[in-house]
Amino acid sequence: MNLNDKEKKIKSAIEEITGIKLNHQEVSRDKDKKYSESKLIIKDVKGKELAKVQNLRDFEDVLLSVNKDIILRCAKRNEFSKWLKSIGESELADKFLTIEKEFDEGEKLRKKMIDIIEEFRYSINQSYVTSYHRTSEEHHIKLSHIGTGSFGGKARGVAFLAKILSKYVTDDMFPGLKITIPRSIVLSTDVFDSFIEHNDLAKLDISHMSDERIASKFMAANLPATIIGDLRSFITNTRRPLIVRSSSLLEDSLLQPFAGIYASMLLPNESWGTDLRFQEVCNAIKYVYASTYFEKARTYIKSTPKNVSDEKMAVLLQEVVGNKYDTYFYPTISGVAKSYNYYPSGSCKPEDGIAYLTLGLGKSIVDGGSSYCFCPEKPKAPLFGTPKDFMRYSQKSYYALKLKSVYTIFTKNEETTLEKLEVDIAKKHGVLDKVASTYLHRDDSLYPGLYDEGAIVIDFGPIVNYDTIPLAKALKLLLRVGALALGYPIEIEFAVNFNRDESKPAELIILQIRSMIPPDKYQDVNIENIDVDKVLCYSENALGNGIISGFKDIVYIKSESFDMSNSNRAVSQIRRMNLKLMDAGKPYMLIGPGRWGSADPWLGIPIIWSDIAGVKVILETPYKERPIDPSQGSHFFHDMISSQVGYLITKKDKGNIDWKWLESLKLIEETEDVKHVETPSELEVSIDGKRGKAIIKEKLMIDNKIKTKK
Amino acid sequence: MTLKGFNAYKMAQEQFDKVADMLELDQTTRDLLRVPMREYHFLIPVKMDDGNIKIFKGFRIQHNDAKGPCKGGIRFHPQETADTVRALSMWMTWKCAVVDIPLGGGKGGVICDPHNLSEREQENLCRGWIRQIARDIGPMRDVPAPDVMTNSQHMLWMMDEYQTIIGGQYPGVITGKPVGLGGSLGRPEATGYGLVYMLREALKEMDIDIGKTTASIEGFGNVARYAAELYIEYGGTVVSISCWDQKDNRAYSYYKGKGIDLEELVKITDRFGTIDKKKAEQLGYECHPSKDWLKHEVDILMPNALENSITKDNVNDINSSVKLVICGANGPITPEADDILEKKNIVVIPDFLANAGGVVVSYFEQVQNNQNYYWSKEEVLGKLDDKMTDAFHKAWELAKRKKVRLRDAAYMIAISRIVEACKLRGWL
Repeated sequence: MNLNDKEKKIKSAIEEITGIKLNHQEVSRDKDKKYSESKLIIKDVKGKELAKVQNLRDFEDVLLSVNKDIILRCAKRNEFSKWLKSIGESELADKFLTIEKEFDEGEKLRKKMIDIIEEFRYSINQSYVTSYHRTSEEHHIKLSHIGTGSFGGKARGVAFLAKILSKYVTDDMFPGLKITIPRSIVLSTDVFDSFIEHNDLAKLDISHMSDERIASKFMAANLPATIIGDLRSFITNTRRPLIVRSSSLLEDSLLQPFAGIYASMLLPNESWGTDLRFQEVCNAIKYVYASTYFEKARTYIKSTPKNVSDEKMAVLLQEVVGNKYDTYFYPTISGVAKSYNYYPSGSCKPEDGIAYLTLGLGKSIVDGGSSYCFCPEKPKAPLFGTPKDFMRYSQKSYYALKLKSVYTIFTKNEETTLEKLEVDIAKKHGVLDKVASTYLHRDDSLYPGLYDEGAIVIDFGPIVNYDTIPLAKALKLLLRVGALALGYPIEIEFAVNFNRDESKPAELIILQIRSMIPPDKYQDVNIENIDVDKVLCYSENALGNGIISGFKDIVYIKSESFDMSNSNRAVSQIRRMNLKLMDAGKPYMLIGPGRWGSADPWLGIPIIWSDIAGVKVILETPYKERPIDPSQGSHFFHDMISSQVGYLITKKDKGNIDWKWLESLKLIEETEDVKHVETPSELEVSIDGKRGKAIIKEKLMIDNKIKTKK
Repeated sequence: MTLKGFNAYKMAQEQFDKVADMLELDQTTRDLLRVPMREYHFLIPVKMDDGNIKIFKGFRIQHNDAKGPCKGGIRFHPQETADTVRALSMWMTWKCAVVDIPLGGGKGGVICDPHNLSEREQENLCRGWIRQIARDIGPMRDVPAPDVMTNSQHMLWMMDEYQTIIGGQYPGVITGKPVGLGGSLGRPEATGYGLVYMLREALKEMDIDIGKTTASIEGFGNVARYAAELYIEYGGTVVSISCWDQKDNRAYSYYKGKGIDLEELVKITDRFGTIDKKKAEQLGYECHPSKDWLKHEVDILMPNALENSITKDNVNDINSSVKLVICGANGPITPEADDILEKKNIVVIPDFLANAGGVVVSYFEQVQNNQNYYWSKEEVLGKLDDKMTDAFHKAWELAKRKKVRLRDAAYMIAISRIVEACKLRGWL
């Protein structure tokens, strides 16, 4: 799809959703000229056809998979730029023509080409991101940059959003709701380079240093003199809480999402003295820089084809969205919306997407805690349960930023700056009537808003069911437009904040956007006709698609004795085994009870992605008698999906893993809560993504069958 | 150092008179501001290494302290005159005022040639200077600093003598001390960096991308090196620098069209600041007579070395590509040359505005001393950037509004601030 078609599709989607006719303007392109459906054929030296490229997505795949020498050969014949020109992407063609001439090394060329396509996908027009100026009248500018390098993944996403919003979304589309981005400033990657170079940090032997030691080395270094004046001026002019986010080159990149790997720092930014606030921000930036080299990042990067040296860090400073209530600060609602739903239910299709909402700061969603979900296309379709269930499962507490936190301890940033508050406190702050319903026992029903009697249920009823603000519509539009523009399913993080002055519209503030791995990249697997009694394990609730094989190692929680009160303890045991297996280059299967990656240790083992980065298949088994909903942990699932890990959930009565078989396997290592065993032959997991079903078999069994057939 | 027949004091007074006319100042105000408020002339007996006593002549001149304690360096120079010190003290008043720091102007000196003095003799001279002036300086009265041929060691002897006389810890009596003994981080970089901060803002106003500019620098001392460092960091290209050659007793300029590599040049520079000519040529630098530094086809000239570097005699050698001259040295452009530059439409950022970074960080040092609390380098440089940027924009805006030269606008701002302070105190 070229730019013009894309733009048309976006416009018609907007018209369909909002009912507002847009002013159609043709993009600068020769209308009469017919662009052929031309194909690019990639051949090897002998002339054998390796790949056929029809569109940009194919092109990207080819760039990643084809041998570098072949890429170089095609480039030297200008095949890429000619093809791009032939499909009407002349802007891209020009860029390719330049690098085809410049580069003489295949690998560098490949990298550059992928960069250009990624940039193009986001199509950042610099006019949406201005260079930071200190002149006071420009403080209203939402997104500006300091430095001249790349913005990194997150900041690029925000820039892309700024562009979409200013290009397509007008205030009259959503009465009562203003869509915007938070005031942000990007320190581009050249600032990071200069920081590392001037302070001689590249010479540090980080592989033998603890995270704390790396952080202290970085904190003792100085930020470049070129940027601190601008940074200081930004801090002087804002006293809203700030979040300092990593925005690395590799992070949130389309193909390797490093979500949640690097540090983000929340700062109350409350102090009266500019000096103190400035110094805190400087330190936070240096801490985020240091996190590029932390153990978590180093382990994670090992599981990808990249190196630590490929990484460059930009930093995104954003004002935190919300209002101040006493000594707390939080937005009314935080949320995550995905344009593709991996857990479709009821009448909602995967393509309808899904949105998760939570009261207060978004930590509970990202960490897989309790939240409310709905489908933006069909907001009123109930996704689960009866009113009683709603009451039982709804949010009981929420996160807020403590403005008066006394200490700034970066390693414990969340513990010192965030506080978990009971929902009753939000009631006192007067924010609940917009987001809560009341459950009345006597008629077993939910009523939107707050009443004197009954129980408070955070179900966002007034918004989702009664459209007090057009949130569902706005999310639907953003997901649709974002996915069309990027060419991939997307995920956005947002906040909704009600203005204290009720005459002013509520704000929907988009914080981040990232791509999801598209479902159609999965291959077709059909396990309908397999006898489930003859397999090791059968799941009717599986994520992922395709056949995963080539591993013999299993790490599992010793189910017979395990109690969730020990789940924190199990994390370090798993982390150590993961490291050992990764060093040995052995992928493995992980088995255990409850929701993996949950922040709540009572619901599952609270690992983070880097703790298990070498895993191939995860199996979630039932925990005692308690039913636990599958996880929605955003960061965790993002990484899981992009690493193509299979996630299988089993039921107690049907298809659950055979524990006796597990016990019989060769023991490699045993700790208090975890066992590492090895199967005699390789395992094979088949996942039918369309139906969400999966089986696990020993490869030997399959081979034997083949032999018997013969 | 100075041109024959040139009287700096006379020049400073003429400059003041010109701006006083522009500001329409009354006679009383002129009488107060065109001469120093206090002058101390004294003799310093020093016991020399050979056992003889030698008498040195010393000065401390306090031009104006309406805005705060006086601030200014101490010069050790054989050709020092009271008039030079008077002029310099007046310029210090304006310099502190233009960057809006709460300090007045002062300057001091001793007629001597430290090259002919042993270290012990120099120490005795420093201590002797303090013994003569101790009761008239101090953290709340007048704060000296290093200047021509004085360094941080001299300052430490002076601080120590002062503390001995007064009986207490007063690190804020003097600035330019080494870090760890009351010095401030960022002090060595201050003047050069401050200069480039201002250059950056000027280029923004002129709608020129600093990353695409080229510059030629006169000098390779502290100011020139740090200015080059930060300018290169911002993406600019320095094509030429010049330096004094101790052996040949003349200056050379070194040129590389692609841009100099600061690090490699520093590596081949001796402790007197002389670049090894042979090695430089091996590294691909062209060695030219020093006067050629302003002939190159560049956007920016930075005279960062000497007084009277651009005169009516050589101003026409300046390449037509030059758009801006920013003065790191004191008084590098003569008034006649300044007029010609204006005619050529070349923007001049005058010395007392452009090189004020040094005194700003000296002020920061004093503040840290008086608080006995020391800042990070980021804090020092961040605040320096603030001060320089703010001072530049105020002067630039006034120059545009009043349609005057930047130099005149900066003087108008500085002098008005002093006049205002004097009025508030009831002096005028």
